[in-house]
Amino acid sequence: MSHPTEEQLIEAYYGAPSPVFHSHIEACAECAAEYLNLSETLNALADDTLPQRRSSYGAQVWSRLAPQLRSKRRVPKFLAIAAAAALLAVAFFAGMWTERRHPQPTVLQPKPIVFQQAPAPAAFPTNGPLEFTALTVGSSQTLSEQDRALAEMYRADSNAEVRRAVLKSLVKQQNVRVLSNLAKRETDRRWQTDIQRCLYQLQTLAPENVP
Amino acid sequence: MTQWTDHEAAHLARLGDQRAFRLLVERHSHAIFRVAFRMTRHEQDAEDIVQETFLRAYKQIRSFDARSAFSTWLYRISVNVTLDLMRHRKRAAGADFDDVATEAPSPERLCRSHEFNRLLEPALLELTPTERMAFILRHYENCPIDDIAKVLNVQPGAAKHSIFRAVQKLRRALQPLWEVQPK
Repeated sequence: MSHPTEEQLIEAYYGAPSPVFHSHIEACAECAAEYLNLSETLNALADDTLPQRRSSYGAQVWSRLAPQLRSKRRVPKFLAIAAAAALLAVAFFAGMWTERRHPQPTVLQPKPIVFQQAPAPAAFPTNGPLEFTALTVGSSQTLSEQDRALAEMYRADSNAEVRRAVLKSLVKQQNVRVLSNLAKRETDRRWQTDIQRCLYQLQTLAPENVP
Repeated sequence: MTQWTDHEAAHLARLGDQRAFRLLVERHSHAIFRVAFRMTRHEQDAEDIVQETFLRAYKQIRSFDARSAFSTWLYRISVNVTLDLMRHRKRAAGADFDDVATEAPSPERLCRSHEFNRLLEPALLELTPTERMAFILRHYENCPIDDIAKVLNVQPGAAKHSIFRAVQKLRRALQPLWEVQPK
């Protein structure tokens, strides 16, 4: 074996020297001195003064780290989705439960209303009994000045023609708010039926079919 | 819990088990501190590196693919943290690495009047960060060349060459000691 290079000497120091390397070092005084010098230098580097840490150092590191991890903890995506779905379900059932306990005053009971005896205005369909299941009436809404004037006109005049004209006008305006208000306050069963039919038309007919 | 291997603990930590991550912190804190101190030669910086290394490890735990040792993966993070710190120091000082390497010794360092340390510290600081890390991992932590290559993200040949250059530079720096001390 030829004289080993410095790189080979270093490799030999850190690794397992081959038998050939050993036999060369034993035979060659120059290489032996070089290898001894290298070994002494590297062995001396072990004297490096390192600040000592107690055996509980790891626990100390953890105690400083843990508060930061809590604030940075990430919620897994599947958990976030499951939580969102659960929240939606709870909101849905809570809504249903509240609805049952406190029914909205603006929702009429699904009691069928049968138009049989009302002298229906000519403008409204009168062919046979008419039934519907539900109708939304916003009776709690406050009326504007114009709406209030129409409502007053309806109430003030018992003339059937005037009342029908007001109702017709309200249907054309698609003014559910005033019609609902009138329906709530009307005590005459026949007129109440007419108002309900107007509301029904507004709810069921397309705008172009509104008279 | 203490029976878990690093890979088992890392797997559980990935699933959000903080006890498992705590185990890894407690198991590897000393090693990260040793390497960080030898890299920076500064105790407080080494403490900061340990803290930041584990914080990053926690955030990136999902990227640990278990093909290498957990310690190798952790060393790699600590290398990046250390280099970030050095770059920060460099920017703050407005100087390059060479200037940092030849900075005046602190009072703490001056207290160590030992001739060996007087020569060793500037010699270590004159190594490039890659050479220094390669040498520290090989010499002090007994890491195999392949692991050092993974930590430094280089080929094994390049890692070996970094160690070789580091030893060469250190030998030259420490040569005066051997000249005044007769064998």
